[in-house]
Amino acid sequence: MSHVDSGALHAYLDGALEEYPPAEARRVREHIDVCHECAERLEIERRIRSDAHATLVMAAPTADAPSLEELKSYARRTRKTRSRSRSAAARLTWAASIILAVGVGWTMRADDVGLVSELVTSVPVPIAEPETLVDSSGGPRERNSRDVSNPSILAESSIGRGRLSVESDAERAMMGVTDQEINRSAQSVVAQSGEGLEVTNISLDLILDAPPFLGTDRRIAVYDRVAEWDPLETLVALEIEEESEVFPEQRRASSRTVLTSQFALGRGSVRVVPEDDDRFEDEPLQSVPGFEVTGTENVGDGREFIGTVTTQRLEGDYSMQVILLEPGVKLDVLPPLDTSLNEVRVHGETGWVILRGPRSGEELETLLMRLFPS
Amino acid sequence: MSRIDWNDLYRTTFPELVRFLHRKVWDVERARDLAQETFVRALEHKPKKPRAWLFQVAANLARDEARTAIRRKKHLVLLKSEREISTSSQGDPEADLEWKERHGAVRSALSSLSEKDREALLLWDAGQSYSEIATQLDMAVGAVGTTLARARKRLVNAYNQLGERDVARR
Repeated sequence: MSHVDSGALHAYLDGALEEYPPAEARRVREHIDVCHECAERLEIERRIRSDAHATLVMAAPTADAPSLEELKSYARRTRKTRSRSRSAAARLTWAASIILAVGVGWTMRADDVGLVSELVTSVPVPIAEPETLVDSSGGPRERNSRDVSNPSILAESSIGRGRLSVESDAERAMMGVTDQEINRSAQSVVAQSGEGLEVTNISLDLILDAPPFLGTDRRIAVYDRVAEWDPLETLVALEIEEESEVFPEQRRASSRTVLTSQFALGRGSVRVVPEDDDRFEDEPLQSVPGFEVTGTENVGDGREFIGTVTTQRLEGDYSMQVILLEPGVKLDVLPPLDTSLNEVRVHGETGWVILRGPRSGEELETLLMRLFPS
Repeated sequence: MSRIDWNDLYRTTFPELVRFLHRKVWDVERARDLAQETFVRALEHKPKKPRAWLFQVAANLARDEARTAIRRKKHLVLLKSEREISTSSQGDPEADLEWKERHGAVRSALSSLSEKDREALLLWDAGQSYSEIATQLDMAVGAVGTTLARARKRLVNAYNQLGERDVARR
């Protein structure tokens, strides 16, 4: 009979065995009852748990909360400001989209832009409309702190400039500024990494840091974190139709709003679904949580978007592929399966979800299930 | 779907949220402000799963706060932190010193944990269930106990080591 591991002992102490599968919870309880060794370990873990709690309590603040009515009143008072933020942010988003089309020569469908605006929920209040748009040849080349994985910058365009009003002390403290008004600007960056990756990064606010950028296969993509103050840190990822004047020979033809809130952060992937938007509830994740994403590319060529392949690193040089195919797309669009790999797949309303990797079918199946958040 | 009792949720969750945030921003007033801001946003968004939502948003706000602190004038943040500590025990110099030392030691001990371990520990301490922690940290429920076991052990060890170092210095 195998002993109970320390994780299960802590779950037992935390009263969390109820959240385990019933059979496992029962096994743990029964084992602790009869195993002298595990009962002793339980006492050791109990002391550790108690000491850890005591340590945390030493630095615990006491929190006197304002009443909920006061809080609601504050929310009502500030609602106007918040709503003004949204419309201002939407204007900036439009400006960003326009300059991409004009300055760099890309086109973006109007409904793509609409979706961007929809996701902007709350940013500090820009009080001025962006001023005259300036292209890369004539505009001030103000570098911001955005990280585009350090590729070589091929072109930068200032999209617009304005002043941000920071009205309250709390806002100023949060943003680390002392002035009542601070400069803001929006900017696009076109860059190329050592691997031939072209990156467009639209910055809407010099205050913000970009998330680590990921993309591969020369696919032009726009990753835009539109609002740091957005409670869910909404990320907007757009694939846009490229008619690049910068790289005419690398013309790609893929246009679709991905509207994913998933991006790689190095340690794994993050998926953030806007809370008030249930359109994505049933959509599988594009990558398996906990594994580094090393690349994402479209399936096949051509103008029509049919799916994505996300490559994730396993141990050593091994990697797996997460393939999402749009509804109606048949499996024969995929390259044949390498003999060293296994494949598991599932079909649903969102199309095929396929996992390929050098693992047993059972392991792949477990990993596949992690793609479904619910 | 059952209707959310915001009064009850606010009453039970606000202190937990402040405690959670405090271990991230290390400033009581700021933690309180951020908790308040989190609830204001919740009132606007009316999330379907408010508890998980609140902690997710609070974690995001705290992370943004940390980014700002790093990017901006660090010394100002330090001064602020010092001020907060010095006012925490209301004027008794000895108690002040003791609080400051304890506070600093807990903070150091926590910072020696990996991010995931620390997050799990703070979420548990803030009253989140294993399932909620698992969802927030993107791990299996079964892995939460293991993470907490490791985090607690490391926290206690790190704190004790700091204590021994202090004794050795005196």
